[in-house]
Amino acid sequence: MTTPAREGNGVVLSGRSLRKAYGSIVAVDDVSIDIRRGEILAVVGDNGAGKSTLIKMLCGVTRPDAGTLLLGGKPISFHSPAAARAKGIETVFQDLALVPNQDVVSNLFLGREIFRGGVLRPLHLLNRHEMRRRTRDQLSALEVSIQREAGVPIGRMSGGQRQSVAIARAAFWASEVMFMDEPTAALGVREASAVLRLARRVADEGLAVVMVSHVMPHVMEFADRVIVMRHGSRVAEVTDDITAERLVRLIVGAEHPLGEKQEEQ
Amino acid sequence: MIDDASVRRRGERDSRSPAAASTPTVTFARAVRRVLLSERADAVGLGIALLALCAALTHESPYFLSASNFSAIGLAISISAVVASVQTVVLVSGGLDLSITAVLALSGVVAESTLQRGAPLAVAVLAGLAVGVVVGLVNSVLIVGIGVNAFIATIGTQFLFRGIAYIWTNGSSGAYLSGTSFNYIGGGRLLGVRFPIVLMFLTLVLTWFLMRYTRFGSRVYAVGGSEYATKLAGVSIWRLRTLIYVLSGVSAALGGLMLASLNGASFPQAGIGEELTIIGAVLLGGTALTGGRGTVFGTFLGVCLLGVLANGLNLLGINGFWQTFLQGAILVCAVAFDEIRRKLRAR
Repeated sequence: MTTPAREGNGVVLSGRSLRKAYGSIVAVDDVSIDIRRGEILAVVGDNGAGKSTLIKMLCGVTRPDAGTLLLGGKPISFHSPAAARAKGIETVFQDLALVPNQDVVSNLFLGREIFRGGVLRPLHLLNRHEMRRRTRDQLSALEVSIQREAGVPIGRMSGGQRQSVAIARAAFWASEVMFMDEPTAALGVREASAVLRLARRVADEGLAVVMVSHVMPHVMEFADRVIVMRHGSRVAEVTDDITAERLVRLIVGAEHPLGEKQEEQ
Repeated sequence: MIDDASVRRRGERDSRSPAAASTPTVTFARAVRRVLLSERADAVGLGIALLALCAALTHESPYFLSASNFSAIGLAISISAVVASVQTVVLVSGGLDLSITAVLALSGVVAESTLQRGAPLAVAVLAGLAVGVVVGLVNSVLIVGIGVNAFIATIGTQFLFRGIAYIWTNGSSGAYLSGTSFNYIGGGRLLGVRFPIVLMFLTLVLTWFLMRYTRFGSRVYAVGGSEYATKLAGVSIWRLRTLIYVLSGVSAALGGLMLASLNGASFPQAGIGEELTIIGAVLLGGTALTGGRGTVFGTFLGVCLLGVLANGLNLLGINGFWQTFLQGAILVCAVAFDEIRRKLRAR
C-alpha cells in the first residue's frame, strides 16, 4: 500500500470546484472539499442537495463535468470505481454490494482473490486458508464479532452484520479514503451505533472516512467535521458546536452560514 | 458487538419449548428438521432416494445389481452427465443455455463430414468441438454483448444451429462410421471401462474441481448471487460469462461427438427436446434456476437417479411411457420440496 505525499493537515483527497449537471439540472455546482486522514467527515443535506453526486465524483462512480480531484496534492481522475480502488479509495455503497450467497471470506476477497503459489499459480487455485486467516485478522482488528466468518452466507446475517462486513472489506482494501453512503439508513438503533463505532475505529487507524447521512444524531455523535450541502452548493462547514438544530437550520436554509438569519421565500 | 442470530438458529429456538426439550421425540424431530433445512439436504435426500431406488430394483430384478448393468447405466447417462455437469455451471451463474442440443447435433454432423473428407480423427474431433466454441461465442455476443435475455437468445440459437445441421445434411443421417477410429470415442474401453463413462467422469471431476477450488468457480457462484456486486468488486462480467457459454457449447459438442460415435452415425435431429431433460436433471440435483446455488455432485446424483429409474423400468418390463411420467413426478416433488424447505428456512 502506498502513501502519496500528504498536504498539510493530513489532507489526502480534495475536490476543487467540482460541478456535475444532469441535463439542465445542476446537481453539484462549484463545490470544493478536503478529506483528511483520521477524521470522520459527514456530508449532510436534504434530498437532492447533491451529497450523493459529490461522493460519486470523489469515488469514481461518475466523472465531474468541471473541477479537479487531487490525491495527495496531485491531480488525478478516476474513470471507474475500480480505478479509484486501485488508488486506495474504497466505497461502502448504500446497498452494500455484497454477494448474498457467499460467506464473509469470499466477499472480502471477491475480485482480489489470493491464489496458491508455485507451479500451480496459473491455475488460479484459491488459497482459502490464507484468505480466511486474513479475514479473521481484519475482523478482530476492527473488533467485528461474527461467530463464523467462513461458510455462512452473508444473506443469512443481520443488517448490522452485513454493514460491518461491507465496512471491514472497504477498510481492508482502502489505504486512503473510505466513503460510506447512508451507512445506518437500514439499521436499528443498537446496530447503527455499533456500525458507527466501527467507522470510528477505521478512522482512528489512520484512514479518512467520509459518510453521507440523513441521521442527525449519528452525525453529531460521530462526525469530526460536517459539510452541509444545499441545492447543489456547499453552504457550510461545521467543525465544532455540531448541534442537530444548527445542522437542520443549515440544511433547510433557515440559517445563513455566516450566521445571518434568512427566511425562505 | 452484534449477536449472531442466523435465521436457522432462530428457527431451532422456536421449536424448542423448555419442558419438552429433553424428550427423545423432540430431540429427534429437531434433528430431522436441522437435516432437512441444512444446505446439504439436497444431496442427502437425493442420495437416499437413489439408494432406495437401487435397493428396490435389486430386490425386484436379479439383473440390476451387476457390473454389466451398471456399465449400461453409465453408458446411458454419460452424454447427459457430460452436458449437465457444465449446465450446472451455467445455471449457477444465473445463465441458461437451451442451444446445447442443437450443438450436440451439429458437432456430430461437422465431425462426421470432416472425417468423410479424409481428415484425421484429431481434426474431426477439433472441428466438432469448434462448433461448441462458435455457438458459445454467438450466445455470449447476444447475451453479454447485446443484453438479450438468455432464455430468448438460446431458443433463437437453438433453431439457428439446428437449422444449419439440417441444411448441412439435407435432413438425412450421416454415413455409417463403423470401423473407423472415430468409433473409439463411443465404443472404446480404457482399462476395461467404456470410454464414454471415462469421459463422463473426467468432465464431472474437472467441473467439480473448477467450481470448488478455482477463482473461476468462486466467481461463478458470486455472479449468480449478485452480478451487480460482482461487477463492483472489479470482476469482468463479460469475460466470465463468455467463458461460461463457451464451456457450455464445448461440453455439448463433446456430447455430440460421443453420441455420433456411439450411434456410428450423426443425425441432424439428434437430442431434440433433450435440453429440458438435462436442465431438469440439474435442477433435480439442487441447482437453483435463479443462480448462485448448486453443485456438480448434486447434478451427478440427479442424472444418476433419472438414469437408474429408466434402467429399472426397463428391467421390470414397464411401459416406457411411465418413464416420462415418473421423471416428471420426481422433478415436481423435488422442486416443491426444495421450495418448502427454503420457505421454512427463511422464516
